[in-house]
Amino acid sequence: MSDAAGSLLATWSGTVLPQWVDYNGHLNDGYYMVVFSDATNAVMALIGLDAAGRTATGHTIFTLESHINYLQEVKQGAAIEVRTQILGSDAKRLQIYQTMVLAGTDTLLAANEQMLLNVDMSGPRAAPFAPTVMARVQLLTVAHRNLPRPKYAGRTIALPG
Amino acid sequence: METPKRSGHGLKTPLEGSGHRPWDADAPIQAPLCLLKTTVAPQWVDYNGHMSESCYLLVFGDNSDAFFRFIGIDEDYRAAGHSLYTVQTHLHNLHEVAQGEPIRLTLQLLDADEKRVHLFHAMFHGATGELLATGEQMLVHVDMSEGRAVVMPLDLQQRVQAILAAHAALPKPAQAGQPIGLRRKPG
Repeated sequence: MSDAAGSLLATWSGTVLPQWVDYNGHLNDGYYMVVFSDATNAVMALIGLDAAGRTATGHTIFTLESHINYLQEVKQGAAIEVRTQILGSDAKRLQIYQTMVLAGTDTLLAANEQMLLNVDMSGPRAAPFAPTVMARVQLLTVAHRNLPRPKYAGRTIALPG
Repeated sequence: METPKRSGHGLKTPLEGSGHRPWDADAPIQAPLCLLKTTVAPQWVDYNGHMSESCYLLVFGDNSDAFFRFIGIDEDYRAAGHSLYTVQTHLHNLHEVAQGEPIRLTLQLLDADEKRVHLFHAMFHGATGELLATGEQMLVHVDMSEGRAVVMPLDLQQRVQAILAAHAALPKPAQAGQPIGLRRKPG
């Protein structure tokens, strides 16, 4: 996993499992979210909210919103990766953009945008990131600040015309 | 329940091989459609006993499947080479729900043309009525052998348009048509 300035985060890699595919042997639309949620877990670990961090801070992350653009069919057994870009953050929220690609290529299969909220589990209620977490959130936000705005970010859903 | 025949691949929907509500051209159309009620299954919950975020979309998928069957898209329809594919999904997670709690789903048609269907799922707590999550989706009718969008057959178009007309008076949901952005206050 890289957090060098300007490079996307490698947050998930694996193959499309038999239990994720439909009658055609293609990744079912609901299971793209399973993969992207796993990638979000990797983002949580990167900002210090893995299991140990959640225990230490009493905080966790809720996904408020998630938007998927399905761009290509993905076959059972396909080797795929998820790469994550930080689009922005504030005191309690983190906006991320993730692409699903064929492993080792830039062939785009799906794009996912998420708004994440830091939550104090004792409420549960929205709460500012813990200082140690905030430091990492800001580091990542700054590292990705100059990356180009992704094509499928900020989309709405509507019929053409 | 009898195990339906499988073609060798994966997913089974809850309604697969079971009876489902058939289309009745003379019956009034619900606004919104109420086609699915269930309880939060053990395999959907996380270590806290709450429904996992990724499972909300799986439940909306079951609601879509109920809708497909209502308008006439089932195993036979797909076997003949056509299906509705999801091209976009936008989820709002509003409240947690625990294993075993009742949930009910509604489905509102927001828009449609001869090859596309724009729909809106809402998931409510079955007892309190609290809105738990919403899912907005764009689906496109596809010729699966050619892998391209094609117009729906006329009877399907007529059913979709009849539902759209029945839903025309429903208010547009607050969560529909919105981009994700930091400028809005956290929910």
